[in-house]
Amino acid sequence: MARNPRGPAKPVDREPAFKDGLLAHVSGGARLLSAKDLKVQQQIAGNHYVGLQIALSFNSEAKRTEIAEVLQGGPAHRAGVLKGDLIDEIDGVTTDGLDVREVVDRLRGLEGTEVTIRVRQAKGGPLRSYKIVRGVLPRQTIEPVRSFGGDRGDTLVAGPGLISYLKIKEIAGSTPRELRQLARTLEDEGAKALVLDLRGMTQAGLHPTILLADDLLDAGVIGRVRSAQRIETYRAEPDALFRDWPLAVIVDSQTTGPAEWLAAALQDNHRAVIVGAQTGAVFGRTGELLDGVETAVPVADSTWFVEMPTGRLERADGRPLASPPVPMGPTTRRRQGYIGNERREGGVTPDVVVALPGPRLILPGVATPDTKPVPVPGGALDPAPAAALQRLREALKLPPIAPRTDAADRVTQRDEVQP
Amino acid sequence: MTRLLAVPFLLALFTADPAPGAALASRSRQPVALAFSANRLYVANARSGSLSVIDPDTSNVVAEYDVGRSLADVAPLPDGRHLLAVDRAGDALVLLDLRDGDARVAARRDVSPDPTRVVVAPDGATCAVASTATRRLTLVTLQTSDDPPALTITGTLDLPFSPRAMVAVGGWNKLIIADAYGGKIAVVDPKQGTLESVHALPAHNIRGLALSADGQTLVVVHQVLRRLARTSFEDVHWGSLLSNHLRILKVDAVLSAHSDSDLLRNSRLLDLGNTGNGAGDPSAVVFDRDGGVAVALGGVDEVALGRGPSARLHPVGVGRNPTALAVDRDGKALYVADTLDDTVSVIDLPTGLWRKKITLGPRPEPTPAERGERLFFSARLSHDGWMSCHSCHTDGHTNGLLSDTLGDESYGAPKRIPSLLGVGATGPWAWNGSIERLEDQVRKSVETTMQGKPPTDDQVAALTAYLAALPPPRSFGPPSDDQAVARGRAIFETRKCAECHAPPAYTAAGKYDVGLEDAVGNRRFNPPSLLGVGRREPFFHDGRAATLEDVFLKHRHPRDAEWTDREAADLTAYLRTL
Repeated sequence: MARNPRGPAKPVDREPAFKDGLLAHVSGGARLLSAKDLKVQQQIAGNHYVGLQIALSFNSEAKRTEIAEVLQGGPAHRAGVLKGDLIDEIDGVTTDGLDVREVVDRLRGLEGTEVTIRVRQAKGGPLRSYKIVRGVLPRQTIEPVRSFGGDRGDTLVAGPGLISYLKIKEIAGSTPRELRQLARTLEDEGAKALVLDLRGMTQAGLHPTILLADDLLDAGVIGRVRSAQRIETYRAEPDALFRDWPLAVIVDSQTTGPAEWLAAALQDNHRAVIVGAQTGAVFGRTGELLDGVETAVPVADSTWFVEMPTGRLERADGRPLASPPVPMGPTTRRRQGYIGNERREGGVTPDVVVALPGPRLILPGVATPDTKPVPVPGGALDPAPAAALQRLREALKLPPIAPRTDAADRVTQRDEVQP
Repeated sequence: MTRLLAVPFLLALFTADPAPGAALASRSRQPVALAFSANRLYVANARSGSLSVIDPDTSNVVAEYDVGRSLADVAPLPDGRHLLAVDRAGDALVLLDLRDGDARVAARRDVSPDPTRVVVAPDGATCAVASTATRRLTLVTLQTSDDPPALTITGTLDLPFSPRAMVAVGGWNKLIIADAYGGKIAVVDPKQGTLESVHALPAHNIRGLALSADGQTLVVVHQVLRRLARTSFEDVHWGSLLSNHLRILKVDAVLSAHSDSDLLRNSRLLDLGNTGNGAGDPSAVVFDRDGGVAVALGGVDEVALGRGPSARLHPVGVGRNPTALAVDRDGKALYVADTLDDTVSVIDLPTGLWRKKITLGPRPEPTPAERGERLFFSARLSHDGWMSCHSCHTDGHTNGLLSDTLGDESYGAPKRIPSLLGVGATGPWAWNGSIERLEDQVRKSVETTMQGKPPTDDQVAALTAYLAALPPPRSFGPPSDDQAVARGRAIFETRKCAECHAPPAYTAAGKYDVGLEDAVGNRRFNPPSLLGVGRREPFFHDGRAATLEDVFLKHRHPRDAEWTDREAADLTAYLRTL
């Protein structure tokens, strides 16, 4: 067999062959990644992505890679690179003829190393040169929320005060540490109860979710992962954050995967009251495993990896997190506006069911939806946080929120009544 | 055998005449404890076994006395005229008379081997000595007014763990004693000599205890190694694997606890480190006169200061490996023992500004093993300074916990951290015996476990020299039941244990399947050395055997072997003498 004189074929050549043959038939879908790609993916999952912190696209008119986004506070931003810049040269070598992947490859490197780029604005302008040091710009994965607005100007205020509210946007490598730091801040503010909002969390890393569950549970079984070889049971260690605080967790139909597993763990250990809508009723594409655990399996001497589901999430008592998917008819699909064609039963049933707006469209490649409060028809307050806050007030033995009107005739409900 | 050699040494010390003001010898000292008495600061040195005396007004070393083979602690008596020193290698408690500006050895008493700490009762009439490796507390009365002064042992108490940090509460009502390696906390009644309770904190390497002025709050500095985390860059970077803490406990919760979680009632856990500076190896904690707190961060050469235990702490740079703290009598300065620099750093209170550094004396160029020792205790070897080798291999031994490293080339099967005492003689290394050279294991640990920058060849050579020089664990004196031990030795021979655990190190070079399988399917393991095995529970690669007896009776080691209760008792009695 003749060896390719140009070295191993680029992934774009192999992929069709694999996809048609092998990967397409793996239950739950599989992807082929180079070792380099896996490393980048791990960096992103670990919230320690090293680079210039920009997003790229291809400007086919100018036949150049264009900088579509410059992340605020990142190395490129601080150097003065602008959105809309076309990259002409990288480290003295022209980008003529290179596609986005190849440009990305040349821009990436080790933390602390330098890269020099020459750019110009697409709409015209001088050629500018920048020497940038590759660095890290961690995302904030947990957002404290202080107030919720309704259409009529109603406001529901959460912290600072007795009850704090945290929107968890994703569960990445930094999330357990962010929660620890927030725990200290909230304790210092005098908080005594907490709402964790897990709505819309379709993507969460399993490993950091295990650590997060460990941080929230004082011993007890978190859950299980069933794989072909064995069942791994994850147990929380003694000690937890927010000890003795009543906890409420908000979920909706888009809370799936490890985030759903986390809600189940908190419910099964009677650690939190679950508020919202049945989880995991989201609709995926055929064969997608929404409660699947993926592993990057090394192949070809670890130069390539196949990322595929190798396990299923189960609750502590062995119940699967969700039933196998049920095909959905075309009429239902059209009516509900979904692009998937299967639905699951099971998931986590909330302790306090709140009618939430229906599940939104799931588009491929979109991580978590916008975290701004969902305006509810009729202008009432977003019901889920309201319900969660009321529940925690009961747990803290506080009187329920009594609406007050002020001079501007706005109904304001404030959670600042001290016992 | 050890005792015979000690006697002539003891005589020499009793008659030695310390020479204050004479030129200080060039030697390695390693200050590990500090105590003020009258207008002097006394520094106990572990390597030289000497006591350095500093005049805080002039910041000069005014004298140095050879007191023992290796000093671990020093404590003043309330009369201001006596000092107690703990001779760790000499297994003794030493009473010193401070008269006319001199320190003379007034009395010595042998205590349970490996003493590391002494706590004196407020009335100065009794004290308690913790012996780490022999797991014993010795209670001693001090008759200082007698002529000659006498130290009399009134009782000993066996503890179910290796004790180290200790604090007396309510005067001399109770002693709170912490584990040297893991997280156990014992409450002892020193007057009755009884053990009241033992519980566990989710912690390890408890290196400092401090009581608030009102006696109601106990501050503990320790580390946490999470069993569910991995030694991946992600977990190390975000402090999810190894973290460093200050824990605030309520004294009455500790004294009245009925369960482990009772200890944590009304307690608070604070992080000492953060991304960028992990604050590795908190080694000591002390309250100042205004309720402020100071924590020595041994791995990053800093002391963190704050207005109170709950306040944010700010770091101040000091010398290498600070492990002891003392506030001066006016409360205006904090003295820090820089153990591996042979200096004492001084920090101004309450400004928190570094004032000066006092050198204890000249010392020779460090040997490669000494340079290796500095690296072993340095958290700067790891990414962001979260941990040093010592964080898991406490003092060269083990903290007894499990860690999920790539030692077995995979994640998912956490393994017991092995002891490194005597490691030079127990190759090949790693649980699966895959590492042929100690240098390679050192490199691997620094790069893949500690996620540190690749160490230089010099650093690897130094660390390897240090490890190779670590002696195997001491065995202590004649056993309690000679007959059982003799029967146990016979069983060891007839059952051919030596095929895998061959003397003198009780290990072998091969990998064997003894009926154990780890979580990812590995079955062949390199047998660990059995030296010091009696004090290294739990056992097996994943710690599944809680006691030595369980190894045989519960887990039928090896390969489903049959053991009677009697056989197990005899064999374990023999193994405990190794």
